[in-house]
Amino acid sequence: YTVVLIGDSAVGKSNLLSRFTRDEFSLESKSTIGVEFATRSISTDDGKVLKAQIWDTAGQERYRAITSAYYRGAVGALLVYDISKYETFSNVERWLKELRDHAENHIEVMLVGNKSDLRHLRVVMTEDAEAFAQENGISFIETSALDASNVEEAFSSILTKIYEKVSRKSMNSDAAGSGKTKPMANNASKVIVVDNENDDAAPAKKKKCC
Amino acid sequence: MLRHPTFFEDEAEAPILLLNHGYLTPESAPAALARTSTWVASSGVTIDPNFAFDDEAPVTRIIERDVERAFCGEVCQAALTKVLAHVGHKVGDYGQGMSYAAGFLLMFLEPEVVAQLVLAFDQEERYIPGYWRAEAVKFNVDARVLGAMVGQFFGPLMGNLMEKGVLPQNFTQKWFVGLGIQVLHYEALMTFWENFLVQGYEWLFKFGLSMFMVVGEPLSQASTTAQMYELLRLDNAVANDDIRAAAVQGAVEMEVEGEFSSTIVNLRHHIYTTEVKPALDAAAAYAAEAAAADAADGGDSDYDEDFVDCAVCENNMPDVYCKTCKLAVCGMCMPKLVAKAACSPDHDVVSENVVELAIAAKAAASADVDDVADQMAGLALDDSSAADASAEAASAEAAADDGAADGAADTADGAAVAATDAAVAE
Repeated sequence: YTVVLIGDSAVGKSNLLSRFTRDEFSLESKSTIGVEFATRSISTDDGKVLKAQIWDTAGQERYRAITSAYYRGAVGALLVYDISKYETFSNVERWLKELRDHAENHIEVMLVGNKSDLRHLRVVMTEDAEAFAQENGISFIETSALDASNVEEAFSSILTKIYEKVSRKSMNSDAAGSGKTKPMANNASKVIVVDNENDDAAPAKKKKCC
Repeated sequence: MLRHPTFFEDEAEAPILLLNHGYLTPESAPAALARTSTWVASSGVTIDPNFAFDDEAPVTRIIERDVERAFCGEVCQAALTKVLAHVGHKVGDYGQGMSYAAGFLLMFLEPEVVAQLVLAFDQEERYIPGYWRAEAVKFNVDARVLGAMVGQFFGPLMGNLMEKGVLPQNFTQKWFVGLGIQVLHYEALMTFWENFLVQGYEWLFKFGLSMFMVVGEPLSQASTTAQMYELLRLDNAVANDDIRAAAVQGAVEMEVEGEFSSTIVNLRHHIYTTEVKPALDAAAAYAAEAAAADAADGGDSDYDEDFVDCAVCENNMPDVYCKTCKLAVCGMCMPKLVAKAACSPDHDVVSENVVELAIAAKAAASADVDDVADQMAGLALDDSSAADASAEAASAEAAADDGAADGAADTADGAAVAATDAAVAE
C-alpha cells in the first residue's frame, strides 16, 4: 500500500516517518526537499503482513496538476498538523481539497495532530479536530513523534483500514456499482496483500503496549 | 559565519552541516574562506556595495522553521532569517531550497553579498529563475527536460524508473532546487557550487547526467522504489563519499557539445508546450469547475467564514486588500501580482479590515461565480462529492447521489498504477 504524508511544513511529517520506519527521532531534522521514501511492514490481527510504502513530501509544495505525482497510486494519506500551531490546522482543509482534486477518490485519510507532547503549547483542541474529522468523514488521532506515542497506532490503523476496505471490496465485488456499497476501486488488482514476505522492508514489529 | 568565534561550537549539530564529513573545521576554515573569496567574482554577479536589507520584509512561518532546520546557533539563524526575508519579499515567493542555498553561502560570505547572489540565482536567466516557488513550474519543466535527456542517453532506464513512480520532478529536487546540499558531502559540494556559480543551470544538467553515469548501473538493477530513491539521493546505505565525488567529477569532465544550452532551451519549450501547459490548463479548468459545482450546491460549503488566506499563495494571512481587483493578498505576493500586471500601484489598495473586505468579496463571489471562480478556487472547499462528480463524469450520478467523498470512479491513471503496484508485489 502506498501512503502519503502531507500537511504544512514543519509539522513533523519526516519525524513521524522516521519514528515509524526506523524508530528514530531528531529535534534537529532538516527540511524535506522533494520527497523521501521508506517502507515497513506490519501484521494484522488475522496474520496478514501489510507492506506499506510511505512517501514523505515537502510541506511547502502545494502540488497542483504538474506535480500531483505524489498522490498517484496512494491508497492512504496521513494529513498532519501541529497541535501547537493553529495555522497548520487551518490549512488542513486545503490539503484535504488538494487530496480530493488529485488523489484517487477512495483514498483513506487520517487527520493526525502531531507534537502531542507539547501539552503546554497546545492551541488546537482535540475536540475541534475530532469534530472536523467527523464532518469530513476521515479518522483522527493525536501523535507525538518525539515520545513515540500513537505513531505506531496511526500507521497501523490507517493500514488496517485500507486492508479492511480492500477485503470488503473483494467480498462485495458482486455488488460493485450498486451505488450504496461504494466500492473503493474498479480494478481488483490494486489489492495487494503481501503474505509473510519481508524483502526490503523492516521486520514487522509488534504493536507497542501502552 | 565561519569567522565567528563560536561558529563550530554553535553549529556542530547543524542540519545544514550533516554532510560536512570533516571538511569544515576550525583548522580548515581559513583555507575554505580563501577558496570562496573568489566566488563572487567568478559568478559575474554584480554586487551593490550600498546594498541595504529591507527591514520591512515579513518573516513568514515557513522561513522561521526553515532557519531552525538549517542552523542551531542564534548568530547564524539571525543572519539567515534576514537574508531569506529580504529575498522572499523581493521575489514575492519562497521555496525551501532557498534556505539551504543561502545558509551554505552564509558560512563563507557576508549576508549582504549572499542576499544579492541568491536574488541573482532567481532573477538571471543563466541561473535558476522560477525554481524557488511554492508551485515551481520552471523547475518542473527542467526536471522533465533532464528526464528526456536521460531517456535519450540511457535507454529504457528512465521509463523503468517512471513506472515505479520514480519521477524526475521528484528526484531532481535535491539536485536542482536544493543545489546538492542534502546529497553531496562538503568536499564535493564545494566543487559543485564553484561550477554552478559559473555555469548556472547548465551545470545542474551536467550533474544530473553524471549522476546517471555513476548510479545508472545499480539503478537498472534496483527492483524497488525505495532502492531507486536511495541511489538517486546518494543515501549512506548505498553510497559513500567516493561515489559522491565521482558524480561531481563526472560533471566537471563532461564534454558537452557547443549547443548544450540551446538543446536545453529547445527541450524546455517542447516540454512546456506538450506536457506542462496542458496539465496546468486542465488544473485551472478543473478548479473552476469545482468552484462552480460548489457554488451550485447553494454556496453553503463548510470553509471557515472567518478565515481568509492570501489569494495568490493561499498560505499566508493577507496583509492588504485591493478594492479594484477584489483580492486579499499577503505582503510577499503583492509585488508578484503587480509584476504580472494583475494588479497595479494606482489601484485602491488598503491594509485595514482586510479579512472583513475579503469575506464580503467572497460572499459576492458566490453570486457571480464565472468572474472569480479561478481566483477563488483555492478558498472554496467542496463539502460533497459534487466536485469529484463533475470531473469523473463516468460515475457522476452514483457519487453525487451518495454525497460522500469516495465516489465509485476509478481513473485510467489509477489502473496503470494498480498494474505497477501489482508488479511491485511480485
